[in-house]
Amino acid sequence: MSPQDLIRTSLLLGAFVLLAGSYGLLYSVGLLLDRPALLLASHVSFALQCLVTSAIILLTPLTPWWKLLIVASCAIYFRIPPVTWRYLHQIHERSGED
Amino acid sequence: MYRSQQLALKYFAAAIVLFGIMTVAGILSSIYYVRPGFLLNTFHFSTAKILHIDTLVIWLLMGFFGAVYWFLPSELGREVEGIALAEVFFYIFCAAVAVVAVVFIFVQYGGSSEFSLWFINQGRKYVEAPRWAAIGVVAVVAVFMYNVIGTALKAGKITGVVGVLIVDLVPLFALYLDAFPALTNMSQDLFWWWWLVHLWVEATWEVLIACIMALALMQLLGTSRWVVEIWLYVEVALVLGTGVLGLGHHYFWIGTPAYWLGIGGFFSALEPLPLLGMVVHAIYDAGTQHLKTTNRPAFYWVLAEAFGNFIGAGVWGFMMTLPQINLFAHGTQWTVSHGHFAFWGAYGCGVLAVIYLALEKARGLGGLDGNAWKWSFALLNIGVAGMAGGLLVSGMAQAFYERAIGGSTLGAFLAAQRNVWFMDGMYARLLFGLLFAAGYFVLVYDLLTIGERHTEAELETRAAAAGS
Repeated sequence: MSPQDLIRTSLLLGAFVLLAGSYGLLYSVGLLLDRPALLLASHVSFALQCLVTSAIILLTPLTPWWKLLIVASCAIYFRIPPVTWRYLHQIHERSGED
Repeated sequence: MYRSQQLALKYFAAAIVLFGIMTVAGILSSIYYVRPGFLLNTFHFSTAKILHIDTLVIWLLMGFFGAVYWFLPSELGREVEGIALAEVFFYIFCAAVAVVAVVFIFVQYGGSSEFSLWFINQGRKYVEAPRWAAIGVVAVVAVFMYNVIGTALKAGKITGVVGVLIVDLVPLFALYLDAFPALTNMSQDLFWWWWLVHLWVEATWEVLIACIMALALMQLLGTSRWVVEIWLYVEVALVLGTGVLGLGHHYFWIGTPAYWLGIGGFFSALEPLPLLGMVVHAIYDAGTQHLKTTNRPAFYWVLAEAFGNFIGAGVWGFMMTLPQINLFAHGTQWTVSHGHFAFWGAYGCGVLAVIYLALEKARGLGGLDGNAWKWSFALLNIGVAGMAGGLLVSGMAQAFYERAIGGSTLGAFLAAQRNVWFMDGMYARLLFGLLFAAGYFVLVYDLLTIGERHTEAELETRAAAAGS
């Protein structure tokens, strides 16, 4: 890995997780406050994460195995906020019923 | 108030004192990087660094102990079993820490002899405390285990949170025994040393703080036990599932088999996933309360814990955890940057949240608020974020110039230390470190006076109401 690749790859990896966090944050706050604009922003954030994922695949010298892991992670990150939110909602509702 | 809760307050006080020593030692350490002749032949950089990282471990450990001693009686409905022994061991613990600190400051180092190992410094990072003191730590943790397990048995009750806590105490105790071997093969020594450091920090401590946060959420937000316990099981499973084998991300340059790098990279890459779930959880809980709580400082420190953990451990960790990057970044200021952010987010914020929670009850107040905590919250968090940013720039400069271009030679190391990017990062770290220190002093002021100021404010309101 060249020195330039080292910095570029690590910054892209940092951006990848940061955008996942931004997606989760905006998605949750959007649902909480019932703001469609924030939900839209969350999906923009995820779209940016997909762009970063593409950049990691195309522009970095990571081996195919690690690139595959990044793609799989990207798909999992997309599902975490809705699944977590739904699960939390369900257990809170069940707790209320109990 | 239970005796156990009085003991908890003492643990919190000791933790905050050590937090201060950690901060001062950290500022000293950061000065050496920009002024290499600072305190030359008087106070070694290595000693300042030892004080910085050892007090970090001890203040957090004392904070965890305090939190458990605080919550345990109300959780199990009785006084902690063996509380008198716990009180005695608190003083032994404090005395041992003080003696070790004095030895570190005034003796600093010894020759390569058994005497040094037993009475001056074991020489292994994070567990430098001489062997007699390490045995003392083992005794303190053993008493702590006895307190928790004994109380549960006497109460005839093991709640879900206490059950997880008890299971976690076994590796917490057993892994510390790893601090003792003095293996002459350095590869073997470092291999096992990482078990202690990594599995404490990214496994047993994670579970411990998850239990503490579960107990805190029930008290702070009135979240139902069922919800808290279900979520605790899920989070603990995910954190342990990704964190334990993430151990391999430390196995660079110490002679371990290469397969560890792939294993470590893979599981570390999964570590941010549960952290994102925690962020969503924090927002959900905050939303159900409409950001309203009687104890705002504790509430905001809990939120900071979730976000800080995600950014410090998740984002910062992921930037450098894949083997291709880690190969260059390992052991540079880049790792230090990640360490600062992750420790603060995952543990420091959580301990401060519990301290505020305990103070509210201990001082018999109906709630806590004011302005001082906001200042300390802002200064401490901006300070940590700034330090992590500065160290990241320095670390990247090291990885770029010293490792990737220079090939890790001594000449490349020295050249990187003089590099303008490296130095700018170090100046930024010092500056934000001073900001953090200012935040610490505001925090101490707030913790000492928050109840009194609250009462004065109430009296003024009452006086104003009476006057009108």
